[in-house]
Amino acid sequence: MNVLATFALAYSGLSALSQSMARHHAALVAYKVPRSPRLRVALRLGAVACWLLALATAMRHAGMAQGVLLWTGALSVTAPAVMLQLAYAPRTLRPCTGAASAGGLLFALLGSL
Amino acid sequence: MTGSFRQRMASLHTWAGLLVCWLLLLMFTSGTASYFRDEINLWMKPELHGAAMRPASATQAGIAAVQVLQQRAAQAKHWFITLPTARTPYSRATWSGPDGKLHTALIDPATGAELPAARDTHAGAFLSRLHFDLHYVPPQTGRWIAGLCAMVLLVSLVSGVIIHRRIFRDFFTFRPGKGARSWQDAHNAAGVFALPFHLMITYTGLVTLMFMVMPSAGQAVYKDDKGALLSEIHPSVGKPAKAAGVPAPLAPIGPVLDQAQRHWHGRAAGTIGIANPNDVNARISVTRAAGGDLSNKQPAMQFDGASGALLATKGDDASAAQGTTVPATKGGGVGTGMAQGSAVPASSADTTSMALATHGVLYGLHIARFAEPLLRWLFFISGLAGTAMVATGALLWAAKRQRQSGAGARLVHGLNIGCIAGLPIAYGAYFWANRLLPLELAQRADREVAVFFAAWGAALLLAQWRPGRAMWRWQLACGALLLGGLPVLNAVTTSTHALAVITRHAAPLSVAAFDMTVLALGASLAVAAARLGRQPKRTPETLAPLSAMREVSK
Repeated sequence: MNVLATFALAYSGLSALSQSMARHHAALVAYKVPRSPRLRVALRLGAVACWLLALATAMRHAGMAQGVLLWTGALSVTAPAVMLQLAYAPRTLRPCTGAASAGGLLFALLGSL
Repeated sequence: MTGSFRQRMASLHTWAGLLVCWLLLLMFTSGTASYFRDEINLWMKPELHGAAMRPASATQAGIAAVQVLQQRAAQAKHWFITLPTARTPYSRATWSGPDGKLHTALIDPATGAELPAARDTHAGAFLSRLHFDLHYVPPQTGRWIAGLCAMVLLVSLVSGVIIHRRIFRDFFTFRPGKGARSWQDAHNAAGVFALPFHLMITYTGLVTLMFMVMPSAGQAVYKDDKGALLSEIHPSVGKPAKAAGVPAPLAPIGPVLDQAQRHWHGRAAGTIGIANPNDVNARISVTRAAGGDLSNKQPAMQFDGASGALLATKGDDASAAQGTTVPATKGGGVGTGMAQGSAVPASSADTTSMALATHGVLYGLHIARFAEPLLRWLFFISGLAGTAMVATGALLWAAKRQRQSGAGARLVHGLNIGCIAGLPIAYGAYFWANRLLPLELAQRADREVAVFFAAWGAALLLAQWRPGRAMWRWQLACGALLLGGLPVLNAVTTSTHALAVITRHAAPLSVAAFDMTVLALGASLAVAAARLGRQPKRTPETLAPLSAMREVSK
């Protein structure tokens, strides 16, 4: 459970970060979301929160040392997924992020039981 | 190198990278494959697939191995046993024969029977040695070349970060179908996303060679006493005593292994060394199996081989050692003869020093023996990203110079084809040779390696002869066929193939995983070959570097 949460949350964080960037705001435009400084800050805070939770779940799964490696690896392999989605299917980014963050939180909760 | 700091870094990055990129491709691919060395070993020795279906505990395996050694080599001076792991399902027993040569037997840990000799192959060991020895040059020279490549790669990584102006703004940017710009985006992505891995693997790679490439510190402290340096880097748990010539039965290995496992809080032994077996001065050293922590240095324990009494422990984790050891008594290895007690007479340096622990972790990170399957896959994917980073860098150099048609550009185009598309052919040919060369062939293992280099050499020569788009397609398709055909070859030549795993659970999972991995790699090469077959769009910017090579080849 924890390790699923790690990957889902790493992806959600990277995706939220990409949507806060000017270049990739187009992924949001399809949903008529206006670009505002507040939204940008919120997305970035959300991204950081996702990554911290991802790190915590990774450490719970594999211990301190290997947890850090697992977390780094999870970020490294989910980043190209976000990049390819932005390049080829930007409209899928928002639903995927929603599902991944909800799933990630659920898995993290189940993993902590 | 003129201009601003960034421009100078850019030319450094371009030319330093170009100088080493083809050798780096060989090092990245063979190193990445080495993460699955044990699995490759098993795949390349189908005679041993049966043992993988019957798991056994370390103690059980140790007892079986000692039994075989008693039958085969009771008089040998030294026994060495590598216990099975989840990845290598059989024990390996090695002893020095009366002629001084080393002999090896593989043992099924569950049945205790000696396994039939597997086919003669270097298997995964060839790939992991190729990674830093480069095979055809003397090992020392090969390591120097590999070390220099690693240093240049480290320079390229740092200069690459410096010249990447918009490393944050372009973090997720990929613009497909735009020629050199697309290659630049792909190069950036492969480099930046796995940058922690690239920096780690390059730096720790240098650490593995540090006593060769950076000898000054060792020389300053240890002067000419290389032995002292080596014995501190590779501490032994205690010197084996000389054989007394008085026979004495060897203590049962089972309780020894059980005691070691208790001492290491449930973590099992990985290797056993027995000096002077069946002598009153027999010594048993047990070293813990890798896993859990990152270091490649694992604690060891030494036992009296006649009585089974614990003599010394070495390199215990600081936290674990506190509870079980008594304060140091100088002159490690002199036991007090407590057979089963939990209190341990500690040797002089019981826990590992900080410097040694750091070296162990950095070295351990590079070879990643500790990694569980998921983490191992992440390392493997990161290694592929490193390969992609080097390959896209080489293609980018060519793409930015697609109008040039001199001998230099032609050479680069040819080398790009021969390494990027040619290396998969070499790996594929190596695995095909493993299944197709006759089993009784003399020096069969070396012939397999010869096939690897013959295939690669042919790819390199053909690429130089006609470095064009057709050659790219032809070689990519050839690599796709060879790698993608491996599951079929395995199914035809063995009974333990991917289908047997899925339908009858009659083969080890790692064999099926190998089949599926090479199939996926072959499929991606096929996609690349198919994409090259499409007509390129006719805008100047979308003239892909590959299509430009037609002009070069004329």
